[in-house]
Amino acid sequence: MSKNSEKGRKGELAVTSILSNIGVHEPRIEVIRANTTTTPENGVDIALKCPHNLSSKLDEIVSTGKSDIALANSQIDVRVQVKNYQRPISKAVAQGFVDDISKNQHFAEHWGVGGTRLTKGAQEVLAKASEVAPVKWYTAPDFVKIQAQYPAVPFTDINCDDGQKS
Amino acid sequence: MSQKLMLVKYELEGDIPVDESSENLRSAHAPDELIDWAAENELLSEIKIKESAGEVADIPVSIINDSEDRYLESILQYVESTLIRCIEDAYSHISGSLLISKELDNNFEVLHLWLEVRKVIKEKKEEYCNNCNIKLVVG
Repeated sequence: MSKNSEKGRKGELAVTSILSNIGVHEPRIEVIRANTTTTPENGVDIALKCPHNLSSKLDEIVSTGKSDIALANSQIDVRVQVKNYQRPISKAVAQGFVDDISKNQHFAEHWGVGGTRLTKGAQEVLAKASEVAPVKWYTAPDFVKIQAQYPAVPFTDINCDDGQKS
Repeated sequence: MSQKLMLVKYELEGDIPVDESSENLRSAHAPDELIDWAAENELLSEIKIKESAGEVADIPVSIINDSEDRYLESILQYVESTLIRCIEDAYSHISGSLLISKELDNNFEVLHLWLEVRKVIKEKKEEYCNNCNIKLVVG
């Protein structure tokens, strides 16, 4: 089994990579990583600057497999916390994620990523937290659906809007 | 990947914790160094808990093994040794009356992190040592 630090490093880099791919496909998305993958920085593994309705678009992709929502011009800051777990997210872990909201009030939204699913207790914790702050949790299967919508683009093609090489 | 060391209170059903009943009493961000050390020294265990009362225990949860008092003592000693090292690191950035403030900021942040971890472990050891309802959960 991988060391915890190695699992954490891989998980954060994989999520950073997927979010960066979304930023190649979609406008006005910046992925910010100010710390190394092994530094517990008040629960901020990755920070995003992105259109305020990006999470609505991602939610639609998770539920229907695609989305035609046009992204807004206004940007918000998002805190992302990654859990590279091959197991459900328990109530205690969800509560730990929610407890970090108060230390990170300058973020407009708080996203958790990872785990095979949320337990009933975890769902209740996140639902309650949503009453006071915008909170989302994308499980690993959810994130695979998002990843499928935003495949990696060859570096030679990143400037093409119409699929032709520039 | 930010992980925490959490003192979690569970209701038990036939000695098995129930996730839905859990309540976080205290927590601290857990440095990877601590979790890796606990795993290498077989102080990190995986138990299966019940999602809700009456269900099968099939939710894996990582906990600090507290089946023997010496396990908690061992991890506390490791944390305290690390704290002493942090204090020495901070002291090395003081030369006479000259303070290297940027380095000290970093040293004090790390020191604070480990002090919070110590509080969580000490609370388990001193107040809930033989209390099976209260686990040290990593996650």
